[in-house]
Amino acid sequence: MTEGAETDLSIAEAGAALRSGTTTSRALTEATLARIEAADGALNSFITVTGESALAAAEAADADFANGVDRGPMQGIPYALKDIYMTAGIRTTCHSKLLVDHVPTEDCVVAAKFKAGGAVMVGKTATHEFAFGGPSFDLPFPPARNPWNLDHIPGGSSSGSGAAVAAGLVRMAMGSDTGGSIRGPAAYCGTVGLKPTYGLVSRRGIFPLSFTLDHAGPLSWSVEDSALTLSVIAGFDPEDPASANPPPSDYLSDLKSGIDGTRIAVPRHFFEGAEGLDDEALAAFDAAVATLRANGAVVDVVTLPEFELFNAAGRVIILAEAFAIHEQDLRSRPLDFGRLTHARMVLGATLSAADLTQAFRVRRKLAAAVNQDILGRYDAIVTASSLGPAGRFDEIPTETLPAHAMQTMPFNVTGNPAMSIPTGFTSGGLPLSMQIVGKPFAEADVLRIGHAFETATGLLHHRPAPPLSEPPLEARRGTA
Amino acid sequence: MQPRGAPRPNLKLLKPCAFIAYNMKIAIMNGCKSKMAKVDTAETELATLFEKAGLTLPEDRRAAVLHGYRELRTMAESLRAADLTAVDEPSNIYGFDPILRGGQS
Repeated sequence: MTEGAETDLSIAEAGAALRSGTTTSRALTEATLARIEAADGALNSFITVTGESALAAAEAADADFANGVDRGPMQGIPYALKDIYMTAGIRTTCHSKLLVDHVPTEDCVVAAKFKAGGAVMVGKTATHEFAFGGPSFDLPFPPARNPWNLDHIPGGSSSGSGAAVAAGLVRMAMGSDTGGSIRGPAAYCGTVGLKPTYGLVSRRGIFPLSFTLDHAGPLSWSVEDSALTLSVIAGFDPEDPASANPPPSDYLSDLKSGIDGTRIAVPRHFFEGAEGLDDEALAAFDAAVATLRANGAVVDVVTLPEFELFNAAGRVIILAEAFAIHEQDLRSRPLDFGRLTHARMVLGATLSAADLTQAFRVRRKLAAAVNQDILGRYDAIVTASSLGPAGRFDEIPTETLPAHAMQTMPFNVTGNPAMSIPTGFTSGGLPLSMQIVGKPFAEADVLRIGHAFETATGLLHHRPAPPLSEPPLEARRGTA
Repeated sequence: MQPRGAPRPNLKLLKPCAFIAYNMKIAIMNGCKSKMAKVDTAETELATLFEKAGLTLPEDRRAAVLHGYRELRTMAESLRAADLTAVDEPSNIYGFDPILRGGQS
């Protein structure tokens, strides 16, 4: 295999190479660690790199292959976890001073599933503090940067996962999504980002932000890689109160069957005319819809309740639940939080019980509008992921509630599966994107539509040149 | 607006409840016209709510939090304005099926 080839393979391609014996997990892992070493000093996408334990896991995966043991599609594949996923013996900081030395004794369910599946965890990725406050420069670790342009934010809160995948450091990294924290960095970094249906993937052992809105899912190079990942991590967990137990789904068998006749609804009013809508983003979205039509989809413009109502319900719920989780620390050690995290989280103290109850009432009504009124007639909804490309670090708004550049919150409120996928690039070379939303537990439909679009456009193969490291990575090497 | 001749206390030194009383007094003295609705009590409300919650707010974060508080109140009020019926209620909101209440096709 030629130099650099290991890091250019998708999960599906790497899996095939591992099984044919043309590469080894150790070779894949060494190439991954070398790429992290070369590029992450500039990206800051990793908080902790677990080289030693990764190489041990890779050798175990190779031994399994040699003995004819196949643990599934992630066996031998290097990947990363957002640093709010608890990992036994490996620090899990939530990118916060409050947990900077926190070393869990148990793996979260997702990490345990990857471990059982023979995957190779190479490190923990940067996040907004507690998946909420960022990007910030007053935390123990620097914020991740966008590999397409280091002066631009990568989006958040799964910022390191987005940056690491886009830069080709790993093929897949896990994120979490409470208001758009998987789809946002995926949109800004030009990767695929899948938020599965609420309850499909266990959240047990992932540090919560908002109990009723938190979702766990992958950011990946390709739609197929997200499908492969989902096949490993989906499943009922009796110890996660939100866990659902739908009939098993096959995310791969129909992946390449196309979208001829697929009915797609587009709520243009969500973003058309919105303040801050970027002309190039709108043009890319329209071109994407044209591509879907050209490939056989039936696309209609539809009307949903106002975007602002979804956003208001989601914001109230997040702030109330996040404050409930962090209340004691916000009282006793407020200055240990980053400035932005603190300024946002304390707002939860100002909400009344009636405010939260009203948000839940509206939530049910909005879920019915999406699922009964629209997805009762259509297979999927397609809308913009964001109103424009990633902004610059030096243009970050200082207000505590971020501007509504992201179009992602509605589908946290309703719980539907939603995936961000690249639609093109601005004239300045920054990624643009759309999101595909499906019926509850119909991830296979979302993935099928995404795969058809990805295949039609060829955007999968457009990747940024890896930046070169400046500072050494010693400070971020982990204990394992 | 403060009526001519009304004594103006040092607002920074007032406790939240005294600040609210002062604002109400000013509104009454202004004749409870439309100006009463324009009295911005957000800063006082915020101080009261923080005191009740046992929170401290560093001075250098006050402006940002106040800005966020005003936005959040607007959002919360927009939820009250939503057209809701008796079935739009949050029982069993933590489960996905009850959220949908038969909404899957």
